[in-house]
Amino acid sequence: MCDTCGCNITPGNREFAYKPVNGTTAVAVLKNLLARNDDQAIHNRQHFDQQRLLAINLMSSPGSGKTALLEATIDALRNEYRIGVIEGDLETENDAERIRAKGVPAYQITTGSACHLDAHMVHEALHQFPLAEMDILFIENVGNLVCPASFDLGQHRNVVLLSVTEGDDKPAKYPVMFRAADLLLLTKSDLLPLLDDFSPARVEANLRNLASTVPVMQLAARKVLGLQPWLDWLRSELARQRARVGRGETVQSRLQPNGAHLHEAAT
Amino acid sequence: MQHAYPFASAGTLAAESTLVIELAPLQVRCESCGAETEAEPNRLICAGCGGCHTQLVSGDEMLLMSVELITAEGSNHV
Repeated sequence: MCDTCGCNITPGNREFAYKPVNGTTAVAVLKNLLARNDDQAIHNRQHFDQQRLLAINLMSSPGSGKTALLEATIDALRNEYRIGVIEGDLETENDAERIRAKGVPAYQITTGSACHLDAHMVHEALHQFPLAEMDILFIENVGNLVCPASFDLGQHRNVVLLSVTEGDDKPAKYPVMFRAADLLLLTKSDLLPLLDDFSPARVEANLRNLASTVPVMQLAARKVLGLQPWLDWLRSELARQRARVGRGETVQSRLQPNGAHLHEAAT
Repeated sequence: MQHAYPFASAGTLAAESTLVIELAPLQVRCESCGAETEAEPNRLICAGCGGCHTQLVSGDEMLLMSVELITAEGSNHV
């Protein structure tokens, strides 16, 4: 791996790597501190690719409608695809029970005090699932706009939800999360007429400031409004995933530190 | 990490050692004009041409860069 050959050195950290030290020996290590998680995530992704399924990581604040989106999505796609859901919360089986009530297999991870899912937790959950009988696996991350963005779980795509009651400056306040999005969903859009201080255009402007060109969609899952673009996105992503697997390729979502990967690509 | 390090290292070979955290500047490379410019966490477009096709090339990594060892007295300090 490039962690050992030294090509993780980027223009920004090169000076630290070879800093001369008096009277001591400096041993370059250049180990990504998330390397163990990333190795496990690669392993998870291999599981997904072997089964030709599409793995989607849903991230947002608590209460922005991740589970409601899944319920509406299951209702819309139940005759088309076989869906499975991994739920992440600190406590309770509530979300998994909501999904199971829709007749879809769901596994609840309770993290205790951890504010995010990591690749090892997801791997344990995978073995509780009939992956071979699945087309799309959703991983509903712990509700949190910070830490989940830094942990690769093996997913192919990140979908970030922002409910319209949360404020349109969230991409500017939580850039790490929104930069990780492969798709941004503005949820509870039926409430927009009631809110005079939320502008979808400002959300998009803040997102574009992060140099993100990903699509932004509005929907209201519980009112079953505006779901079509989201469902079409899922269909096309599944088709792309199957085509990739056919070519022996895979894809990672956007959350990896780009610098190190760019450098790998350049060497 | 700065606060946890003394506790994590206590009783190990690394006890008494110092953790130095160096922050790397946030930089983006523009795919349109090729410039590498400094950026803000919530403003990652190219400072040169204003383009949005940029890649973060520095400032987003968390790496163990190096370990300094003192071997003269036969005891290793990490």
